Amino acid sequence: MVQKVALHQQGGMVSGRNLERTLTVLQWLSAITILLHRPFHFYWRENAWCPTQQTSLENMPVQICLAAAQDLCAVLSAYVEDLSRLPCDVIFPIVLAAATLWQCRKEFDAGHNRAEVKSQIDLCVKCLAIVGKNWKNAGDCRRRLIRGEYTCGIFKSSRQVLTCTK
Amino acid sequence: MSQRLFSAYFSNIHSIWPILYTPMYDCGNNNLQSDAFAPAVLYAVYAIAACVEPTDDRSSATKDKTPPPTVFFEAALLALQKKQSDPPHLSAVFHPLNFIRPTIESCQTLVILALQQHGLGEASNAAMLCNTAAGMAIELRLNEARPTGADHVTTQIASRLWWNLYVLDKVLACGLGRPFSLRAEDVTAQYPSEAEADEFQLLQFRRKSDGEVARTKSYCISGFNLTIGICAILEDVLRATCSVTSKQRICENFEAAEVLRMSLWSRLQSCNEDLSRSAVGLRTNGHFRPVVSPVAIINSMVCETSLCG
Repeated sequence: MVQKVALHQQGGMVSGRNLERTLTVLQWLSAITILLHRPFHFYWRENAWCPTQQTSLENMPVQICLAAAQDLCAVLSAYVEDLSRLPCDVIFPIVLAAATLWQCRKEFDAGHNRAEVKSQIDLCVKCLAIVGKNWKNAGDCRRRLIRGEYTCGIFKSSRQVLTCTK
Repeated sequence: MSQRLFSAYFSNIHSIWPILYTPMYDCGNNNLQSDAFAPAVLYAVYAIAACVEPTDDRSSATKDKTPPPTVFFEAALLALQKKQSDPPHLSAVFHPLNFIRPTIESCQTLVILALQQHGLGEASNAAMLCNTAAGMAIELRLNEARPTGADHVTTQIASRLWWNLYVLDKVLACGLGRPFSLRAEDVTAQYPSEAEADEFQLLQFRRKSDGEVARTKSYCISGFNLTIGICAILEDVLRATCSVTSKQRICENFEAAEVLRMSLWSRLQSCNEDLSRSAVGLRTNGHFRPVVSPVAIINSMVCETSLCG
């Protein structure tokens, strides 16, 4: 994360509107990564299934999801001032990242940096407030996160562990 | 007011959602011919642009005089029921069936309105508008490739409309938790043209770092074509992990599902690498050098992190 911010500062952050496309694409790449791996984490646990030796630790679903959510937060953190120019399709990736971080934080043991994850969740809430100036949906999602409702409609359809609430 | 709304639409919405074929409306110097738009499309553009907060003081002054988005939204729905005839003001015939009459303009209007309703949190409206647009698009055969030698402008209008609808279909499927409607295997339509005449859009903006005005190309279409590729992977991910029957399929055979997971993961990583490479390409232009290319910086970081887990 520190390295990312340092690079960000070196870059100067003065791109034009194409920056918006880049931000959107990157956020969706992280979101799709989470969409792909997250269900496996729940299904494996629910069925007490463990992967065989081919699956390394870094390819475990929960690790990939956490990394993707944190990548997304790094992008959000770097470009927070530009978020107000983005269309409403960035809302879902932000909510998904927050839900994933919250789930990971809940499952972490003391060895993990829970405080950092908490600050990333707070960043997602802040970003939704910025996007919410234009898009009411973002404001609604932010209020749900503040209430502790880490919901994602997409997971309801596939009967995954669905609504995570405090 | 019209100028503010156009400006908001083409700066904030069009750069990500290039639904309209802008060369048709552009009359230079960032001005657009409002009378070149079909009434329903024009109201839809206003409806979504009215959601966007003004970014400068001059626009803020006109913001107070702008009607709320709902007024334009309802006007667009009403205009969809008006018979498209020439000249429209002489034979303004309203009929409910006109709403579902498949035309390019109606389909464009529905896509923009679906996006607007999604942004306002009106999930059901967004889904219904998008699905109606999808039905119209299929009826118009926008999913099929235009024959060689077909009129370029007509092809580009159809192509942009189809692929924006395809992307929106996937975005709404995620955001609303509903099945997607449009499948990649049913599509042969060409990608929107990245030719200079089609893609060119010079953008001017004030840099936050030093307050100086900078100019850059928007790379709107080439960037959007990357999004289409990502959405094709998203479609497979949704099918594999988020469909109603996906849990049953995964739990029936965890080993096979794991192979599928790693295969899709590999495609995503590969897409990330492509994005990184193309981002540099997006920014090599002789006339207007982009100020900086954060794409390469950020993408390489995301890529490395993903690969390292």
